[in-house]
Amino acid sequence: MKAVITVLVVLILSALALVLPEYLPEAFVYLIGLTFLFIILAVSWDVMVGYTGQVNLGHTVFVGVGAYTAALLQTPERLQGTVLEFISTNPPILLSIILGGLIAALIGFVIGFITLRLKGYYFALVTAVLPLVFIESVYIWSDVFGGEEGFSIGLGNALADTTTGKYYVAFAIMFISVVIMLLLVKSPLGLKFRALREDQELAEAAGIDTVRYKLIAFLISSFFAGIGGAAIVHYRITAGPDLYNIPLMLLIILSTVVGGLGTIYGSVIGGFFIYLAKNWWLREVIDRISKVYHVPINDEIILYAILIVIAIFLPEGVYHGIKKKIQK
Amino acid sequence: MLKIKDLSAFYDKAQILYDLNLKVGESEAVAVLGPNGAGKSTLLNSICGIVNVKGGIELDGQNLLKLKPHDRIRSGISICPEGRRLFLNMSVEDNLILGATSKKHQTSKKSLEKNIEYIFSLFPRLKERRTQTVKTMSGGEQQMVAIGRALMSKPKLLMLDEPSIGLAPIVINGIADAIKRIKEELNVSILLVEQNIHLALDVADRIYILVKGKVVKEGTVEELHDLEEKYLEV
Repeated sequence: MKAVITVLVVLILSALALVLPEYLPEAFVYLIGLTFLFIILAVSWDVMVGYTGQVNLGHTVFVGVGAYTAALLQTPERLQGTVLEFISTNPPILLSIILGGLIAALIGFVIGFITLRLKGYYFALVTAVLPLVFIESVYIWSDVFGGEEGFSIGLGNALADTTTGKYYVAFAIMFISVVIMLLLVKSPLGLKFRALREDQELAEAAGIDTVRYKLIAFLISSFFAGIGGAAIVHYRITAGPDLYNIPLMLLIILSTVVGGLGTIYGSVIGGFFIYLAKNWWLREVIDRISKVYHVPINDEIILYAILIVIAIFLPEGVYHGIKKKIQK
Repeated sequence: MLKIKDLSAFYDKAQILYDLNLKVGESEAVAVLGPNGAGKSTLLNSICGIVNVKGGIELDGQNLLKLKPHDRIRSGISICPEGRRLFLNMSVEDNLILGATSKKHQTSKKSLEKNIEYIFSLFPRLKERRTQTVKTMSGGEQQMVAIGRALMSKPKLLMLDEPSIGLAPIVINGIADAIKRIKEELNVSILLVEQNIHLALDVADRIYILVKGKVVKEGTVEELHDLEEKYLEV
């Protein structure tokens, strides 16, 4: 019964998403399409943090690696004079996105292999530093990565020719990615992830190779972060250091925590509303507040105020809150 | 089956066990009795590989000291830890399934279902609470889940760390009956660590008394017929 209701809700929301472009201005359609891709970033972070309990503060490393991989594959001339100059043809967009995910997963494997043996705060601290290292590489090798301003991959490499077309492709990528991650966490693999989150020592005593399963979760998480990053590049046609940066990381954390950690659905809800809030209606609210009341305020302050309210009234996140209300 | 030779165990620099020797035979139930701080739980943790040790631990001739903790579980030992440590936010069923994850051939749906049914035959109350979150259950029921989870990997050696602690006498009797059934029906060797003499006498074939990390008495239940007196002496 529960599964039937879930499928029905997903179908209704999907149908709504599919007809939405008919009724919205193009700018909003563009923004919602980008929001779909942001949801992949939030959900993939949830797989690692919400399910295994390992706090990864460097998720944007994989977003950025996926993004730059896809971007450089479409602009191989930027690789001239580097060890990768043998890459001369640009692959189809779908392959470019998958390769973005795979390279991100490879980097995830290397980082995870070294760091996942660290326990508690150490893992979180080490991962927190990683985006800064990768951002630095963008500035140091600015000929390749385009420095602070990034670079364009050309209109011909967009996900689709029209905004509506890009919106639908973004929706499809998000839908497929989220369904795959959902199936993975609902499988016996996900049960082991949850065991790690609950009690690592006990999981080890139950015969679970804790390092191995943390690494698997990290691989899945980094792969989909890379997919998201690569898809974003093909969506907006530019690659830039904002995809590595800390504000994006904070937005991912905020979305997942507000939505509900360890639920997938919560990250979808949180990702959708928080990203839209930051890039759409919150700006108008802030403009009004600062003009009428002359209060120095920005969107981050409001978003974190929302987080405090959620932490007080729905400590397990919006998804759990809704679920409990329905069950009552 | 299990042979422990000259085992010394340490928490950092503090030595807890001193040159301990102990054996558990095929399908034999051995109890280790001792007061608080005697090193009973440390003994089990040493076998599991979560304590620094010197000496020898063999299971069916295999040197366990060369294996990582999760590989030791795969080699055929299983522990029901002190204080019924469970995955409290998960259901009874999930806890049981997690007990079987160490062996691939036991994670098929059919095999899992068969093992779970056996656990339910041992503890019928768990069947009614299959989907209930473990943290909402009573201490006795949680102990049943803990023993069930330890059995799910079909171990050669089942180690139980004070399963009677904090339980009512009637529940302890149920646990004792279950341990006897496990030994008879599954031919599992059992290493029971206890403070409860009556439970130990009820289920064990042989008994060791451990004090301050050393074995001070050992023998069969018949040999130690005046066990209660001896235990109180030490």
